[in-house]
Amino acid sequence: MSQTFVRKFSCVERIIGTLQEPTDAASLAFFRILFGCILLFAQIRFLAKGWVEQLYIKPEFHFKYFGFSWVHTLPGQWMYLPWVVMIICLIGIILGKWYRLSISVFFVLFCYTELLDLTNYLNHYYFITLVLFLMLFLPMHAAFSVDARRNGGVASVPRWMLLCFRLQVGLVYFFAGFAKIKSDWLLDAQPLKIWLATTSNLPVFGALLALPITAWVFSWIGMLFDLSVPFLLLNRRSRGFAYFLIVVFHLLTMWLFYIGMFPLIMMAAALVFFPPRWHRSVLQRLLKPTLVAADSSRSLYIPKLMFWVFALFFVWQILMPLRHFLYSGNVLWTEQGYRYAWHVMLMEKDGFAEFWVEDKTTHMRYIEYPKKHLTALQEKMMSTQPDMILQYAHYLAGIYEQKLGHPVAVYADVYVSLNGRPGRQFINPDVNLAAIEDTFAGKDWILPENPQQY
Amino acid sequence: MSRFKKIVSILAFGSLLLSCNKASDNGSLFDSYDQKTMLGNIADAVLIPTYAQFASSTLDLKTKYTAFLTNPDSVHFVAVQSSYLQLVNSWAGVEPFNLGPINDKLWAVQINTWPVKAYKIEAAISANASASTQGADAKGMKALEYLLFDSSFSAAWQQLSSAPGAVNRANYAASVITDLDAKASVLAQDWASTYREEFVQALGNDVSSSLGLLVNAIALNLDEVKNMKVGNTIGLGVKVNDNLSHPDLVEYARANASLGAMQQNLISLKDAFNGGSGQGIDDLLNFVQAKKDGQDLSVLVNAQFDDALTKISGLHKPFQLAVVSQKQDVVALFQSLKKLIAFFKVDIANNLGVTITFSDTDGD
Repeated sequence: MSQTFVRKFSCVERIIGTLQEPTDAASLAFFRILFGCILLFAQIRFLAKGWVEQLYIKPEFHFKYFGFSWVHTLPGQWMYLPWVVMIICLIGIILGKWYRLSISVFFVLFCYTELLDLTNYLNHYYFITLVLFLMLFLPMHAAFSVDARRNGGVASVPRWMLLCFRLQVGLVYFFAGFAKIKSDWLLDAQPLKIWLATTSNLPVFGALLALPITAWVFSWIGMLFDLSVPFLLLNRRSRGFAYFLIVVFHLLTMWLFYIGMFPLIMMAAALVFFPPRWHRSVLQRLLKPTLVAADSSRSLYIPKLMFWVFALFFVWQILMPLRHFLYSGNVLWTEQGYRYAWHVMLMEKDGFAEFWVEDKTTHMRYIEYPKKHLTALQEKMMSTQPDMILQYAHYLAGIYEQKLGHPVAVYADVYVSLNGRPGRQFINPDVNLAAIEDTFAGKDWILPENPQQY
Repeated sequence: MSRFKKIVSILAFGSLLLSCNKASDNGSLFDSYDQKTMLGNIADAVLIPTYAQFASSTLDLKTKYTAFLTNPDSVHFVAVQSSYLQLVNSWAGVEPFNLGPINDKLWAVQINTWPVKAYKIEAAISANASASTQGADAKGMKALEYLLFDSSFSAAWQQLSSAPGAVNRANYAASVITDLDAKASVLAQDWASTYREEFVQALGNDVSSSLGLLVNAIALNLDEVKNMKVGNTIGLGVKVNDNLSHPDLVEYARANASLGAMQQNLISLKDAFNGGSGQGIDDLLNFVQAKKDGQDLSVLVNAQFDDALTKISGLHKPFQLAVVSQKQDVVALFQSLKKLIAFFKVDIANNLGVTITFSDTDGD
């Protein structure tokens, strides 16, 4: 055995050793309680805003996620049931009572409600899904939980479990920063230039925000902030400063844009970078000491499979944001590889869509307005997203084939403008979308944004 | 950390230099543009006068109609009908601007639901009811058209003067006019007194800004003109898309006033876009250097307005005949309106950062 091999081997061993090192389970408990509380607030808010009715009960048609066309809404008012159950589950999650059951049911229901309609896809819902996936497997209830008090919990867990959450949060920031390295964002300061005009109304800072340079400064600092903040959070000496920046950054976005829960969720999530003893001291100050699990000799059983599941889980997350490089054209225009890639707040995109259905037997063409079958939000979302346009074309084909009793062709007449550039025909109006299946292959029926470039 | 700070400051400074370069020829959106002047001008030159005109038209109709009730002869009825036609044009001037008081009070529906339900109007007449107690589909502009016009002048006149049940009918028409006039005068007063200031102060381009409301209202009304007033009549509409002519779906078919009303809709929209002869949305677009194919977007939009207006004037009155005899020309008008809508919903919305059809759901 050569010397270097031994050295390398011992290095790997040391890393594994560090990963396995016992660390205070308070960190997982802290995250469980905090995240549970935020989700509880988010779901109650969702009900209070009447979104169940608006987004799931009212629409006659729902845009499906690729591969999930079998997911359907519940009839009428039954649609409220998942939310009621989710809220009960969240109470279980926060208290750590029947944790495994609560998180499993919650995870399934949350995924179910998300998969109902592509219209409602948001990056932060995707983030929640990913975090829930981690929470599904990790012993979040090992400490500071009713379960732990009853069954005797463990006070420590291997360090890698905490690191999983840090990696998860870090990946979001890093790729959100990576996604900002685009000419629109850095060279044209778009869409911030358009959006910051909104703020000229605001007191005190309004005038400052409307200054010509502000959009550029914000764009560049935003990109650098996102790319570097995971590393700054990892470093003990810069952590406080980095968290301060996070709070300022997210409060600013919350104040300026309609992005709902996202800032709050990220401000909370970044707290996982704080040391376990800080998590413990916060919990001890807030909770009754009776909930604090005593040290136990019970050791955690960790199935081998979990390592591979998690490894795959993170490899997926590194590949997903990069997949758009496999497609030609600007990802903001074609949106091929746009979702699940932390493309956050990167575009002002407006579209206008009408459809023509052609009876292939009589060659009669019928105009179709999206508002006939879609809600205003669905129409707006569809008008700029090719896969949704395709789905709607198929829906129309179904309706007309039944009505006419003949095969039909469906053509989309869509006009889109992106980040202040002139509007253009978005979808090839001569392509029969009814004859096209959605696949991972490049969509050549999306017209180029800038014809000269191709 | 100190190294990070250094990097940040270098890059921030770099971006400052970069932005200073660019800023000189392409500043931040509304930076030095005086939106308040623009909004004040749109209010004073377009919105307030059109609302005032609407109120004076309803008052005029009320006066003429009262005179007719005292003297139900054909001369007075001629005056009533021509006053109504004047009111159609005045309303068409206001109709596109469903924002401010009319929107807060949800009155657009009360004033202009169409089509109205004839059987509901007849039921209200038989019951000797007043319009103020009736639903939106039994009163407003289109109920008046139903009551004041018929297959012929004499038929309409006799219905309100000498036919059996004419007294009830005439009373109901009076109540519809009174209801309309009361609303019109409140709207005109609200605009002239409190709402002008509110409108002028709502700067920026967010969903509650006057610019946002105005662009949305314009896009919505253009939709209405294209899809309902024109589209349905040639079978290219939301209601019917069978590609056939539907003279029965023409607005103001009884009063033969459809083309004039549409023309007035567009003139009013164009006026708001240009701020009359003063500052308007067109100047704001020039300020942000909104261009398309090397031309100013504002010029293209105005040209498109003119194109649609020319196509309207090329149609023979009444519109319900044109949708049959000049169908191709009506289709051309439809296409022209479509281009105009695309400008508002896509190019203008994007350049000005205005959200079309805002929903209160989260984004990111």
